[in-house]
Amino acid sequence: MASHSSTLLSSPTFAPFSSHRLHYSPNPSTLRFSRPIRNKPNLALRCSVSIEKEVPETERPFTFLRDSDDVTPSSSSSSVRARFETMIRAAQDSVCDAIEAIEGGPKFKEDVWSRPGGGGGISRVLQDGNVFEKAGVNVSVVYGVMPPEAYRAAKGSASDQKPGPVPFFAAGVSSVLHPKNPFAPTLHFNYRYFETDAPKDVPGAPRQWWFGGGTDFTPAYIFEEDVKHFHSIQKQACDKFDPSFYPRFKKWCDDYFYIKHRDERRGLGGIFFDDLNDYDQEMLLSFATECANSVVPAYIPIVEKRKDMEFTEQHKAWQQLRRGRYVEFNLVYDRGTTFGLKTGGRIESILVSLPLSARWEYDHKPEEGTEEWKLLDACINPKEWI
Amino acid sequence: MASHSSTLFTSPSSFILFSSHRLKSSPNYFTYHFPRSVKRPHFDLRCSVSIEKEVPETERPFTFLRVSDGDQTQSSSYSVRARFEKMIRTAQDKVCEAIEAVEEGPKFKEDVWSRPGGGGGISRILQDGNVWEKAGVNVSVIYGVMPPEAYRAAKAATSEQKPGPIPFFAAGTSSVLHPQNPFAPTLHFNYRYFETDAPKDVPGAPRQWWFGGGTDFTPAYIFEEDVKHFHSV
Repeated sequence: MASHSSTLLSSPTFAPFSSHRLHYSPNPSTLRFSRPIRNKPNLALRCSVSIEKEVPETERPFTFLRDSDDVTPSSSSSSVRARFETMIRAAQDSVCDAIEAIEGGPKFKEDVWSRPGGGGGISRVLQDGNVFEKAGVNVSVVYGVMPPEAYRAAKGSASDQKPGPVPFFAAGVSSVLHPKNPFAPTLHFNYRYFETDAPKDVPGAPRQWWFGGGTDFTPAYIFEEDVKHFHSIQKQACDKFDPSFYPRFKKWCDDYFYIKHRDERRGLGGIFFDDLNDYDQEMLLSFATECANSVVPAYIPIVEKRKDMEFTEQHKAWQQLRRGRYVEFNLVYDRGTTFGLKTGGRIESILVSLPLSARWEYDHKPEEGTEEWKLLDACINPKEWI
Repeated sequence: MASHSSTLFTSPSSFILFSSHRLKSSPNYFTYHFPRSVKRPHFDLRCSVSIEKEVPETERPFTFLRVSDGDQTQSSSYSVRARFEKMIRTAQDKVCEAIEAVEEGPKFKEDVWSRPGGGGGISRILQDGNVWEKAGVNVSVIYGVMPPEAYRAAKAATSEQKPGPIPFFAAGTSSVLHPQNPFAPTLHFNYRYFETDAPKDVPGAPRQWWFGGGTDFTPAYIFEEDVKHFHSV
C-alpha cells in the first residue's frame, strides 16, 4: 500500500487551529474576555483550507466533536474520532498534572476555544515556573473542508479522486517542554489523527485516514543513562505493536529533525512517524495511545533527577546556544510551524514551542573532548543509544 | 530605464552567505592554528550559483579583486569594481573604529578569507562588549558563474538573454549592530554592487550592473529626537 505523504495537516503540531487567547481565572466570575483580535491575515496557501473562526469558552466542554460524531464513552461502537479525542485529552491532563507536581506551586494557564460548526481545543502554558522555563501542552479538534487539490497535496495521491470539496477531521495533542536547568532536557511530543469524509456529491465514497506523531528529546548535556532510559521507553512502546517500528521511526526522527544549514540534528532523537495507515486502524489507535501514555514515564523521572543540579553560567550559555538551534529548526524547517504561520493560525499557540530565550554566538565551537562537544557530535552523527 | 528587481543577491545581508568559512584570529600569528575543517551543506538555491570554496587567510590582502580587474590606484580610469571595493573596505574600517572607540577596550575579532579564482572577504565580529551585545561588519567580493535561469531570476528580465553561463561579480558590505542597553537602538546597513560579464560565447555583449543597499533603524523604545536625527541624516 502506498504511504501517504500528506504535507498539509501532517504537521507535528495542531497549534495553528487554536488561535484565540483566553486567560484562565480560578474564579470564573472574575473572568473577562480578551479584546477581540484584529483580522487574521488572508490564507495564502496554494490551496485554501476552509476553517471557521474560533470562539473563546469559559469552560472545557466534554467533547469538541460534532453531535453526529459524539457517542457516549460506554458505547462499544464509539468512533475512532471520539476515542482519539478522549485519548489526547487524557494525555494533556496527565502530562500537565505531572508537570505541576514537579513545579510545586505554579499552574498552567488555560485557554479554551471552539467553533460553531464543531471542533475546538485547549491550550495550556506554564511560563517562568520553578522547574520549567516554558511548558506548553495543546490539544485541538478541527473540522474543515479542503478543495480536491489540497486533498491531493495532503495525501500525495494520484488524481483519481472525484472533484468536489473534501470535508476533513483532524485532531491532535502537541507539546514542547523547556526546563530551566541546563542539565534537564527539552521534550517535544505530538500525536494526531486525520480523516476525510466522503464528498457531499459522492455519498458512500470510502474515507481516508492516517495517524502521525512522535516524541523526541533535546538535552544540552548528555547523561547516557537518561538518553538510554528515554529511548528504551520509546522502544518498549513500539515493540508492543511491531518490532520494526522502533528502528524505522527512530531513523525517521533523526531525518526529520535535521537542521540542514548546520548539518546537525536539533537533538538526540526519539521516534517520529507520519501518514501511517497501512496497518489496522484499531492497532494504530492503540499504538498512538501507548506512545502518548509513554511520555510521562519516559521524561518525568529524568527531570526529577536533573532539575536541582548545580550549574554555572557557562552551562547556561551552552543551553542557550542549543535553544538557538531549536529555534532555527522550528522556524525554518518544522512543517507544523511553517504551515501554521502560512494559514493564519493563532501565532501564540504556534510559537509557544519556542523557548523564552536563546543565544546566537558568532562562530562558537566547543573544544573537542568537552561535554558540549560530545553533545554536538551526537547531533551531527546520530547514535544508536540502545 | 526599467528598475532592476534582482531577487538573488538582493537580500539585505546576503553577502554573509559567501563568507562562510570560520577563522579565529589570533593576536600572535605564530600561535595560530587552522580550525578542523567544517563540513558545509550544499548550496540549495532554486537556481544554483557556482562559487569556489573559500580559503582562510592570515592577512588582509590589499584587494580581493582578480588581477585583470586591476587595482590601478593611480589611474583615472580605474574600474567601478575597484572603487566600490575600496569604498566598502573603508566603510568597514570606519564603522569598526567608531564602535571600538565607544567600547573602550573590547576589539573586533577578524576572519579573512579568499578564493583561488579571485574574491574573498573580511568578517569582523565584536561580541559581549561593554556597549554592544553583538556587532558584525562584513565585506565580501564574489566572482561566480550563474546559469541563465538564475540570471533571469536575479534580474527579472524577459528571456531574451542568450543561453550560456553568465559570469558575475558581486561586492558588498553588510552590518548589524545590537547594543546592550535597551534604550540604544539596533542598526542594520548594507551596500552592494552587482555586475555581469559577457558570456564567453558572446564576447562584446553589454554588461549589466546595478546597485543595492540601505540603512535601517530598530529601537526598542522611541526617543523622537533620535528617530528624527536618524531619518534626517
